[in-house]
Amino acid sequence: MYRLRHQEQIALIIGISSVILLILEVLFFSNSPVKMFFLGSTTIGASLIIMYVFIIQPMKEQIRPSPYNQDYTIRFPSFRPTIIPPPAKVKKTTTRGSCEHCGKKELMGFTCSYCDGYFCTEHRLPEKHACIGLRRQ
Amino acid sequence: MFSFTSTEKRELFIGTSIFVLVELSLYISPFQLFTDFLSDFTFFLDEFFVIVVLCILSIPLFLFHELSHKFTAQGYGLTSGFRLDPNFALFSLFSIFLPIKIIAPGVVVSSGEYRLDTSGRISMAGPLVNILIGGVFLVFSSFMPLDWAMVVFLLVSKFSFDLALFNMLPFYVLDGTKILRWHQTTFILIFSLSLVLWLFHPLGLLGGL
Repeated sequence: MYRLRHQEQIALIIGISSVILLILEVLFFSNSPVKMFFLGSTTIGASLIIMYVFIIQPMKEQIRPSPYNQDYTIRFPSFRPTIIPPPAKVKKTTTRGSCEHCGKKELMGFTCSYCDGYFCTEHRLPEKHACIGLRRQ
Repeated sequence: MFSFTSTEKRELFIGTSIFVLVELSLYISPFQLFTDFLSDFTFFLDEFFVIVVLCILSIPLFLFHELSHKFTAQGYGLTSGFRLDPNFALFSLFSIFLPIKIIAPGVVVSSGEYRLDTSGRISMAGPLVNILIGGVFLVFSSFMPLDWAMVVFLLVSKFSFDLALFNMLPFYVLDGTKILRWHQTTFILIFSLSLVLWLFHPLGLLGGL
């Protein structure tokens, strides 16, 4: 079962007290603008407190899973994420060779960006040469 | 954060219109209006003016209810939007002519990973906003110098408490179910708050006006 935070428990008590207060106001005041004013202001007060404590405060305090968020490291001082940048992709450029799929010699062939293989015009697309890199992704 | 798709805007407009019509049918009978139109046209014009004012003031009740769900969900990092449920929208529209009213033309759908308490908090936002707006209109009504204006403000606040209580009922996909699933005491607090306000509102069952 969910355990309420300390502020939420206090807000709960304030809320219950305001319900009792509302009933008392109804009993003590006759139907007049004064009664409406008191009923309205008690309602506004209670709803604002409950709204702030139950909705807005947890929203502000919620732990964001992104390691780029500074709050995350403040909350967990032991957690220091080291961001390793991805290795820069060096594109292999080949201008001559034979197609890795059909073996045909190709002077101005194509290098597949997924598997880095060298292919002829006909088999240059990943689907045409059953690309391993595409399958992996 | 405050972005809406064109479909969402259209569906919000339809949903709000259905809500206003259903709420008006609670207090003003369409048959009575027609009779007034035939018998006393001057009285009908006065009545019509009050209805237009009521309609305009009732728009934020439903709109803010749904938007509060949407923005709370977005505040918790979820993707959220209002979607009209065609079956329930038609059922709500049909309830204008029935003694029992249904106000559920659509629902705010949220996607993403969230816990049970987040779902409860998102569901709490709507009824709480309605309670807040109802309270504001109740305070306004105490300052109204004109009788008809006071009644209009009281009616709007009653509409607001109606919507809050209806949504707090623990049935089907209503907000009450999700809050009850999360935390019983919180559900009892908000339910009792809306029930007391609904019952003891000056135009309520035990209001005595």
